[in-house]
Amino acid sequence: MSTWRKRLAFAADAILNSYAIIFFSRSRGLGLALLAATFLAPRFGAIGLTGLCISLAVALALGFDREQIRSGALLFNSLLVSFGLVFLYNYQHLSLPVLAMVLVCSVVVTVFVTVFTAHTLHTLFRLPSMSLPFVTVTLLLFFLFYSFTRTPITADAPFVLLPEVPCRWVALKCFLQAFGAIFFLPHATVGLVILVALLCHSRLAGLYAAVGFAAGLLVMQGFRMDITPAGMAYVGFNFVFCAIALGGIFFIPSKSSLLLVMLGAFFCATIAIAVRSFLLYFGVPPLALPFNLVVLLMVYTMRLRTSVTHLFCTPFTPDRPEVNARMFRTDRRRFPDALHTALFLPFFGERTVTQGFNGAITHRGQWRHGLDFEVLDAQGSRCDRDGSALVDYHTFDSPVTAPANATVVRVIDSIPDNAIGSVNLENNWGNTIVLLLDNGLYAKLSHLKQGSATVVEGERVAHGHVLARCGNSGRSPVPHLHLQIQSTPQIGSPTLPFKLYHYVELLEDRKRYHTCGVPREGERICDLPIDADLAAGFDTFVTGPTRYRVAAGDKTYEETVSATINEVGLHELHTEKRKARLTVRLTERGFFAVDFRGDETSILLPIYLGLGRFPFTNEKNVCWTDELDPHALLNPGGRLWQDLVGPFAGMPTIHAAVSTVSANPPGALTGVCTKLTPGVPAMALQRSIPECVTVQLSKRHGIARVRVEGRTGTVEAEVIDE
Amino acid sequence: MSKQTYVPPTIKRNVTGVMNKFGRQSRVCDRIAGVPVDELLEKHGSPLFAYDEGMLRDKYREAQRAFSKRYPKVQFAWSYKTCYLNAICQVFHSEGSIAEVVSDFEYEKARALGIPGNEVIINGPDKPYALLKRAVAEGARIHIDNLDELLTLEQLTQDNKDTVKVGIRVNMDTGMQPAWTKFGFNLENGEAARAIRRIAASRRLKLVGLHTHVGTFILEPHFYAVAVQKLIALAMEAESRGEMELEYLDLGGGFASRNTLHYQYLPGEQVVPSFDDYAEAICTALHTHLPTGKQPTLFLETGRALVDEAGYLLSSVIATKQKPDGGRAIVIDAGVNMLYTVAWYRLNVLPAQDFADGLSDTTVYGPLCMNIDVIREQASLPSLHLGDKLVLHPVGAYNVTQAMQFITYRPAVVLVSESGEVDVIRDRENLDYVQELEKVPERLGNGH
Repeated sequence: MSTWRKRLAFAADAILNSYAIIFFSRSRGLGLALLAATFLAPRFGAIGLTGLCISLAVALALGFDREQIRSGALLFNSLLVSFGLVFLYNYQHLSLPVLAMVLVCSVVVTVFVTVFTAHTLHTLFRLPSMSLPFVTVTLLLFFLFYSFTRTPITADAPFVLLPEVPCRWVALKCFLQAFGAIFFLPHATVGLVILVALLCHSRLAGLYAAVGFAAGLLVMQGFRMDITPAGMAYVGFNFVFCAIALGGIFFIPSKSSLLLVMLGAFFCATIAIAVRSFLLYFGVPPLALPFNLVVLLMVYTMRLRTSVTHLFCTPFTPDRPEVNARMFRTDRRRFPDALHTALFLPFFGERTVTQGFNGAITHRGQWRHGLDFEVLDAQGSRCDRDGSALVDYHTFDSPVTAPANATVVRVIDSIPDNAIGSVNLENNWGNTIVLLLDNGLYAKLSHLKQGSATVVEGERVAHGHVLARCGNSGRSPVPHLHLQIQSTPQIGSPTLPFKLYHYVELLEDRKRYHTCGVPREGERICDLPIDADLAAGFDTFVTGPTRYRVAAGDKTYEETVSATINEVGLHELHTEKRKARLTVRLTERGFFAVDFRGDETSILLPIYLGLGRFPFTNEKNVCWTDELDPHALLNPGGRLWQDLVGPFAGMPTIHAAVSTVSANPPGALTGVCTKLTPGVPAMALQRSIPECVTVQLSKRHGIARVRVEGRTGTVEAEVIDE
Repeated sequence: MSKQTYVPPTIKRNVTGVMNKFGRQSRVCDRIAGVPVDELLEKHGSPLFAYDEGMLRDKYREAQRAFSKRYPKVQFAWSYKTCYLNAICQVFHSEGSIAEVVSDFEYEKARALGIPGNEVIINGPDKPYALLKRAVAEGARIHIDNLDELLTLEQLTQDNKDTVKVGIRVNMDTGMQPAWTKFGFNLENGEAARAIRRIAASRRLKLVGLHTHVGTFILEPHFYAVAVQKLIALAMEAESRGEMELEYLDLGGGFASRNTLHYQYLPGEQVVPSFDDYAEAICTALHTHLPTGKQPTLFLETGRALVDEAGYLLSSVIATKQKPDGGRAIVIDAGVNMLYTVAWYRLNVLPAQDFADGLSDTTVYGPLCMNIDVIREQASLPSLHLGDKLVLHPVGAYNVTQAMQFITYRPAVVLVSESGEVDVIRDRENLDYVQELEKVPERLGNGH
């Protein structure tokens, strides 16, 4: 592409994003629709766009961050200020050169205010600047114009190309006008166009907007305010934005976020009424001030909660509300423990959890989040011979390892080991090592063998490093290892909940893999070794393009999978011919498919379904379950259902029961067999969900063969060996 | 009233339970895993090898536990030559062991048992061209023993698409006497380093593992610690020159079973280190000498220590004798042709029935018409009679695989499960089986 075309594309991106970002979106379609809507009032459209272009040029010329400019974050306030200026121009006609001067000045000032506000709010509070710069600059402009005449500001109705749609219900008319008033165009037709554009982009946002607006209206009515389209116009959009921001963007859409939206509407209404009471003297509307204050307040304070069971803050860069809901809820069902502190196993080999969280013996009260581990043999016995000596115990003298990369902060190593059956209540934790984890919490390992510590205070240790040996010191009648997490380095601190990473639970005939979890009392657990060859295979799979020959029925075709790494470090696998994308989190321990989008005939879909998560193990009979997002397989009706009902009534998922099977052919690496159970009615699907997907892995290609079996036949894809 | 058995009068010192310095406590072994010896012999004939499946599994789990609680990546490889009866191999494979073979025959056996190629380790100096070719194709782990083998492999893999991962066997001085120098490349004289350089320079071979075998029946775990230290030093030196990427260390076998060597004063039970002792020495050495963050897989090819004590040979007295010096002697129906290990062990010879009289030194002869067929020069036994049953123990390792068909048929082998089920895992030989491969040239006629 030539430089000019590149520059033009950049400018187009920045302009369209600046419109779309007003609704927290990056959709260029929505941006274009909003741009078009403003041109229904040509003067508004033209001056708004001019102001935006000026701010774009200024921001680029001054050398502000190009990505911020492209995303619209740096420019949309200038756009809104320009609209405010047109509004004021309708109130007091200035000569064109003066208007031009005021326009240039105000958009340039807005750029500075935006940069300043965005930076300070982000660094001080990790908050977005939202439209605070717009509110600040526009209020100044309003008072500037007020100072010219000293009479309350009243503007003529703007000239709009289309007649106002007739509307019998006042509430609906207020609702539509509120959308127009975003651009200082309280006009039902303009509002309708914007609403339709918003609905095309996100139905859920539309739903939240309606709920928020209705709630706000009721509050206003409750305060006996006059509900007239004219009176409501410049307050109403606060409810709309507040609802979308709280309900779908900064918080994950859910039933409780609906309640939060109503609460937000209440706050917005009260602030609006209060602010309006003194601004009205000047004829100045409250602008977006109520919504900005409420959202910033809620987002900041809700983050400070200590126990979060509902109303989750969006932990990733927000997308459309329905996508946020889908990603978050699927992720939460798949990785319920992902938000907790997790440790690797602090030992080698197999252990039985002899006391879990809330255990009956000592894991009680403030110390309830503790795990005790012992080595038991196949008969369930903890010792050989008569068990009268410490050395008879399988656990005694076994190595204790660092459960994470950490710094050693306390080493207590001189307390004698008790004889079997007796306890030391004076030094009840016995010999103990406390580690400072990289997340700021502390892990404590207790009842170690006297004199066995191999680390010193201040030493940096890597996960798996041998720290000491299991002993029988402290309140320990038989040798065992105690593990807990706490918020201070003091021995005896209260415990905090935590999880264990990447282990298998040993069952009679198989092993159940846990990506993260808390083992229950009596569970036998051990680490799942990672096969270096398999891990290497996935490296080659995601680095180079891999070609597959796909046989579906009597058709045969080729598909090439290539990969890129996105800005947050996830791998994105693409296929050229069939526009599909599989997003994958590739760690040193496993392959975790995050999201599939695009053509459902691509082989990336069976890879998503059949290899949603895969720890790099070469062992047979390791099993796990997973819940996958059926979005790509739903028909439009099904998607609408998922978007609008899913956040409130539970997301539909595809249940996957996975087990590793013998390699086929022998000599290859593991196979993974996934049985799928659709949690979705057939009428919501545009393609049936396969019953079974078998993925064969190899050292050379990672994914060597994929076989999909379903009611509609079998599809087989095999890598083309080059 | 039936005639009572004659019992010569003896005087026995009263010992209350403690072991006296002569180790002469009488023991009776009348059951194998709960199944009466009489019943086994009656049903399957005498002599008879019997394996205790529960003990096989217990031993394996004990060993696995001892190592895996000390080191994160441990893999046992069942040493086929120790006892490659299919049923025994399957017991270990079902416990998670892979296979260690030393010939094309053993490789074929492992593959026929369904063990995938990449779960087979091939050791030993005898790897014919065809075996190497198949092993490369099937991804087996080849431990190169000598330079000729290395050259053959280089040639064989020249046109391969992928690199072939290999290991080499290294011999060294660990302090154990005599050092085993027959196998592999010597460490001290630089042969091993030269072999590593050669592999690094080859087109398709990639060195990822080092193998050593300290020796056999090692009663001192420290030798393993020395071997670990030396192998790691060799590997790190090679890694620093970019000549290898250490993925695993294979410490071979050599763990002793609770058997008693001829020269040993104390019985095996008292001097043989436990799996925990070996594991402690090896794993501590690994943690001490490996650089931080490096944890190669530890392979162990333990054979004898896993299987020896689970194997019994049940036999019957076929004659009693008085030696010219007045000493007692018995002839039993199991000879040195099926008990290769009597060459170095003083096997326990245990009566399978209660006895009333005291013990006296008895020479135990095998049935072969050969003067060398002596099972024990001197065993403390009660007076025994024709038809009395004896149990020889431990005989699980090396005897079945090295038993030869000589003079008479080789016996049946049974496996007694934990719940007491008895399965024949190898039938007693018969004439047809022994003569199956024989051919008589036509010119010699058919014997009439």
